[in-house]
Amino acid sequence: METSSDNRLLRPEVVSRIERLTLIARKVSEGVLTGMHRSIHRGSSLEFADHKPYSPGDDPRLIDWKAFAKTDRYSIKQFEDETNVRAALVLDSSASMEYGSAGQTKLFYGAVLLASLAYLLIRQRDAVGFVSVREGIESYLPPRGRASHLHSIIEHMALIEPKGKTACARAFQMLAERLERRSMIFIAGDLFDEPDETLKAVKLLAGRKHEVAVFHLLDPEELNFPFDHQTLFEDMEGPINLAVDPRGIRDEYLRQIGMFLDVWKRGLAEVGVDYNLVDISEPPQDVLHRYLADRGRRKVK
Amino acid sequence: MEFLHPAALWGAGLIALPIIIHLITRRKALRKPFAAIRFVLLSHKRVRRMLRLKRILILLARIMAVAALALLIAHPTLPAAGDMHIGETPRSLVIVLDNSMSMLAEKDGKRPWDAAQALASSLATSLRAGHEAALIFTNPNGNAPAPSFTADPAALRKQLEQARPSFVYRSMTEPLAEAALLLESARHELRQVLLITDLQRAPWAKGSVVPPVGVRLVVLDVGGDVDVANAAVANVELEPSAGEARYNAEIEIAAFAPEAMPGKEVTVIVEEEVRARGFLDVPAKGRAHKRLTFSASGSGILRGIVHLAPDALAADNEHFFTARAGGRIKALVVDGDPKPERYGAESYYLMNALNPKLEARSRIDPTLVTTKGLAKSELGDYDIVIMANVGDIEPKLLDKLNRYVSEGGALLISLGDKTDPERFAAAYGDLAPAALYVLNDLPTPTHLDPTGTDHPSVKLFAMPENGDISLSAFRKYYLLDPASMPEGLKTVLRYQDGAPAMVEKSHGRGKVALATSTLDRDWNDLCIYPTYLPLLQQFALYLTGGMADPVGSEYTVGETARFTCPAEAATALVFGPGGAKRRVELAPQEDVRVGEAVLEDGPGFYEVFCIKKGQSARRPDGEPDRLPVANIDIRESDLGRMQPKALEDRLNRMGFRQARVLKDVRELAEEEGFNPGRRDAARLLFAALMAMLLFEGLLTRKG
Repeated sequence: METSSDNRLLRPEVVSRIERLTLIARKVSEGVLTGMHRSIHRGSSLEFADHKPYSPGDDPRLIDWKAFAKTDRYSIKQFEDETNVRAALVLDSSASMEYGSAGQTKLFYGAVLLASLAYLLIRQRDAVGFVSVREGIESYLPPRGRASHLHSIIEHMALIEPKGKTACARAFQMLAERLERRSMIFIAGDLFDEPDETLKAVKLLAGRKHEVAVFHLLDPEELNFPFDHQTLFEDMEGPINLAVDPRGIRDEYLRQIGMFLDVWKRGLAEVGVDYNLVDISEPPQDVLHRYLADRGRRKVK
Repeated sequence: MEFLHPAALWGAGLIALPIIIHLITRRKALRKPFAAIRFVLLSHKRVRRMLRLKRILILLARIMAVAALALLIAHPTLPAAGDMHIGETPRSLVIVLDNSMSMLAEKDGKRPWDAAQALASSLATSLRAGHEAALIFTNPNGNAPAPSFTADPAALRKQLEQARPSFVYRSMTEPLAEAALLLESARHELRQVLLITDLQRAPWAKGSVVPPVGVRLVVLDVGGDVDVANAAVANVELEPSAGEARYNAEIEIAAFAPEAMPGKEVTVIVEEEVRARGFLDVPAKGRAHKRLTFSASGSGILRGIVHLAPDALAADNEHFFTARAGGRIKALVVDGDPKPERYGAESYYLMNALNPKLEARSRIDPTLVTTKGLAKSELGDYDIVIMANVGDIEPKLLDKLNRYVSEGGALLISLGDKTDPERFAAAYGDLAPAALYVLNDLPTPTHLDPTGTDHPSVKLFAMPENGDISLSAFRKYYLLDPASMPEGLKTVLRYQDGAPAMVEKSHGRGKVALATSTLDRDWNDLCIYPTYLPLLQQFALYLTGGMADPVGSEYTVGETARFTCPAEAATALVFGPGGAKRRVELAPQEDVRVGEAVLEDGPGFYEVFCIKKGQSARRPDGEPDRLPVANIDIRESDLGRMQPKALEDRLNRMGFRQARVLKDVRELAEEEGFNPGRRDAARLLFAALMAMLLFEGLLTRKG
């Protein structure tokens, strides 16, 4: 029996979206790795599981010489994977994330960014979960370290239909309750929410020893407000329409959004949360590369 | 507002265009789903009032720009204040323009002259075929052509542009008579005289005019309603001081104000330097006097101005004068009767009077010689030679003296017991002011006549505080031969019996004087009286040219100045106060050449240069040879006005029947058939259009 999710997965556009997302995520993460030359995590110990007979093509370094001394056969040690890092990828899926002026929406850009992170983490055998949030938690995939789990995450991402209002505060509170172990939490969204409440919720996450990084996704049109003609602006999350001559309000708009970004930046810096303002016209690998490089520098310090 | 192309006003309907465009653009807003609408809302809320105002202003600017464009094409004209055009009916118009000094009086920053000139100019501009007009100035106006009728607006305008207010006083009867005469040859039946004046009372002296039949005189009052308070420098008398290098200036101020003017400041400026300053209270419609003493330091001829504190009329607040700088006067005293004892010498009292040294300061520096010493002396080093009781003079010495005086030297001859009346004329030749007749040995001494003090050198004795010259007693003096007295001989002082005590005459460029008695105590006791010292010093000053200005004289503007040049001069150049140059031909007279120039370029200094034959006609370097001064006639300073009714009566009596005095230029249109002038408003509208477009551009630049 097929679930509704399964039905949606069969739709050609969804399939195409999954493939595209997978492809881009891989490309992005490879680009990032090429630039980095080192992984973001160093796995600690691996737990021994069993021996397997050596066959050509196996890494000779893995030959268990003690077993050879006992049995006079080449055998290779096998280990059970163990993850020491758990990560939660949080994607804002409110209607405002549907906005995008440069051929891609903020949602897609956020999905690429998080999928790329997922790819990187799972490649290092870290457990990665996925959370879609709107006015609460919309969907939740618990962290897993299997490679196949990446596919599940990407499928989830591809199936997201942005709608509803942005109200992340409640979603983050719920997430804080669900995540029992110390995790890395990557949040991607436009955060068009009341910053006070949402900041409190992020502080809650940070207060529980989770390592939180926020990717604040904004379209270049939202950042620069480059409109020239009389425009009827329609709210993507509600019924509000406003006809206005954008040239008349541009200065004030830029002032307002500047203040908004400043509130986020300072609010998150106070609780040690990485804040990354992302112009979605920027290649995601550059964003990731910058983030990872900054993070690496901070760790070294 | 009137329009040259009123049909173009239909274009004003296009003001609907910006409104329609405004509404259409509002309706044609692009739909845009936008995620960050909360910031759009917030921004709009904050600036919406300003935006609404801006939108309205933009709309208004566009509407007004379209309206201005339509009006501009329609070519509007506006009524021009003070502007008047000649009417439709063909007419012969004589514009009599008052260009007297009073028209320069400022009232609230405006001058009647400017209004009058503008009105006359607008009338001239509107002149067209079928009309004729002539322009007459009430006062002399430079080289303006003789008035005649013309239909050429440019010719009249040119005359008006070149017109200047005149400082020459003239009665109003003369220009009106001139206008009446001109209208006798008028072509049109409608004959008008338009007198544009400030209604100043002063020039309306009695007189009559016989205008041709049918001539209508209209007087337009451009002077305003209020009598303006004014004061003028009426006169300045300079009295030089021989004792010190200074002058006493007796300044007379005339007030023409209904109220007293206290604390008026008077300044004496010499060579652009303030040398004396004082204050005086000027009574209402009266005269006030102020005596200021100023330094005569400098060299040559000093140019001075007595300046009165500013009031309504600036032109009469200055009075120009010249004075000779007070340098040392070198005197050569020739003692014809030297004595071993000090007090018996002919020259003892004379030398002490000319320079008392420690007793008082004197500009005169005397040197004593005998007759023999005279032959050895270089006379060119001295300003005056005094021959005290010198008897015979050798012909060689006479030639020397003759040359000296001809070239500008001064000679004073006093008589005494060494004088031989028979040989006196032969001894001094042409230099002798007159021949001696007989020695008058009086049984009872006579005295000097104190009433005969008109001569500039003894004028100071007219005032009792300067001493009484009649106290001294004269026992002996020579009578002069009346038949030998030349025409130019001036009597400086007389005895009470009428005989001359002192005479003087010009000789070449110098002066010769003769005292008919002694200058010591032999024949009179003049030398023991206090008046002896100032008498001799002032007389020496006079003879050496330090008293009367030998190069300049004072005139009233408009008067003819008469001046002399050396015989070798061919012509003279006269430069007026404004620098205008004119050439003056010279006429020979005795051993000099004489020229005349009308001083009509206004008050100030007129520089006269005597030009030799072959000399360049450009302004020579250095000081002028003559420096006549012209000051204004203060009759024009009285700015009191005539009442319009009184003037109408006066004009009626003069011969102009039905003369009208109008106060407002609009009455010319209402009552005399002129057309109100109109001003082209296209330029103004173009400026408004540009301003609107600029304004709209600024507003829309940022939305």
